[in-house]
Amino acid sequence: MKVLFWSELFWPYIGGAEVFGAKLLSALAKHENQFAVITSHDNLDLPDRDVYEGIPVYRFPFRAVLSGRALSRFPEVIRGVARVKAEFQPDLVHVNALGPSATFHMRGSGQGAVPTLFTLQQEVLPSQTGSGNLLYQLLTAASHVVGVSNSVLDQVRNLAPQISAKTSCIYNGVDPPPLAPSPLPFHPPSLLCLGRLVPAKRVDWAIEAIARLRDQFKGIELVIAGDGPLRHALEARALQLGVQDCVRFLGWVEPEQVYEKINAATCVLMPSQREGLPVSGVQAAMMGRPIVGTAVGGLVEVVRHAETGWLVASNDLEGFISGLGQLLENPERAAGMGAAARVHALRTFEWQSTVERYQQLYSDVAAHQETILESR
Amino acid sequence: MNLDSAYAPREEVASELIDGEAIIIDLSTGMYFSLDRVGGRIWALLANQASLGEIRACLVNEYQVDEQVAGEDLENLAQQLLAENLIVPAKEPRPLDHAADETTAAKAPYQPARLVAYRDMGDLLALDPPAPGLSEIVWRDGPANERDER
Repeated sequence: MKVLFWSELFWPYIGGAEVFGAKLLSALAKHENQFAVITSHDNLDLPDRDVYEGIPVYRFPFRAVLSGRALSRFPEVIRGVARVKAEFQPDLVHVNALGPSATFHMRGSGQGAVPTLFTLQQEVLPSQTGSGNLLYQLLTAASHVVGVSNSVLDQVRNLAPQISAKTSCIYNGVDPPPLAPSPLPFHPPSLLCLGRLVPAKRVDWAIEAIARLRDQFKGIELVIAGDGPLRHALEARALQLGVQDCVRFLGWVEPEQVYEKINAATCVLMPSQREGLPVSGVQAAMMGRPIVGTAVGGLVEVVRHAETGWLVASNDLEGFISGLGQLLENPERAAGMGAAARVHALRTFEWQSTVERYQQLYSDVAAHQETILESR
Repeated sequence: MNLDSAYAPREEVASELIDGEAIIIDLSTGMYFSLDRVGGRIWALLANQASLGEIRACLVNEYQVDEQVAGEDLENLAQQLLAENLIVPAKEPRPLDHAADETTAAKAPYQPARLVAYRDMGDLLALDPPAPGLSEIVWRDGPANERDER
């Protein structure tokens, strides 16, 4: 089957959705699927045409055009996308995660067009109520919609109840870790935040927490693995709170080094405002690390509150700090939570199952479209 | 609405006509809009600061629509564009160069203009993507083509 994989960002970007997308392509290419990728350059100086593991990658300046910086290039981009579609002749377009670029796919997705499978990786935003938004347009135009967690799926069904019958949940599976979990370190404890340094990840809560807990837990450290526009503000906050000596900013960590970093942590902090299904959370659980975080989106499906970690309401900073403190005070309980987290994650977020379900969905969606066309 | 009124896109609004469709971006909010063919024609005339009366006359001349329907639909669209803060009253209305009463030979089918809003576009653009350091990237193959505005 020929699948055009539409990804707002793609390798070498290394966010959760991008890493998942690249890995899924590699796995599904072994199931006799032929892929091409359409994606954005965004802020990196990347070539317009590229190859990833033998898969052609076509990049367009979607974001520059849609932000108004290069609006005059709109027709050129439309023609470029149409050319790739005409040359590749896909049986299916798989839109992985919603981004502005989907507008360009939508322009060529009228009746009788190639079917679209849409995977929504993120929670529905406050600006995505009613029908006047790109998400709604894509949901209603797609042949099938996948939510990466039941929470995301519920939000989709609330936004567009009429499409409920063509929706399903497929978790972003994760390969089992290549290394055995080490015992949780408590002397001193090490806390880990992993991800983009953007407002939605709310890493400032972790800095507030270490400032409040450093006297109680001598030598405690906070490791921040990731980068983003808030890095300088977070460094300044650590300095302001006098904890710069116990907060380490690692910058981006290569995907293959993630488990190693998790394995050195006592627990992983995820005080996010929203989460579709955090792959780093699943990885932390698979490494037997309890997670302290907020009860938002798919995080609730990764962490079982009080069993595999500790979740608080999304506005409860005090509860977050107190929950973390209690976990660190009780190593035995923390280790038990970590062990339970590993069992839950290995069972629930199995990679091979994700691959098989997508392969089945590819076949089903394409076959359904053929039936529709034959009946005309 | 007064037919002598004329409007113009707000200064912070960028637009492009593509095959008759108007693509409109409010640069202050990131919100994105589109106007289909009849709407695209109206947008182009508004951008030239034609009065509503002149625009209505153009529509009647170019499309299979009577004056009353064209006027009502036009008023409706102008209200929507004002509500979305995409247009403002023109400081100096400019009469159209060509006379709208020159009858067009074959009139196009008419559909009321439809303004489609993508209210989440600003938020989607603002979601900051992660970026690894460029120095870590080693290109294996693939030609590096044109690299300008991304």
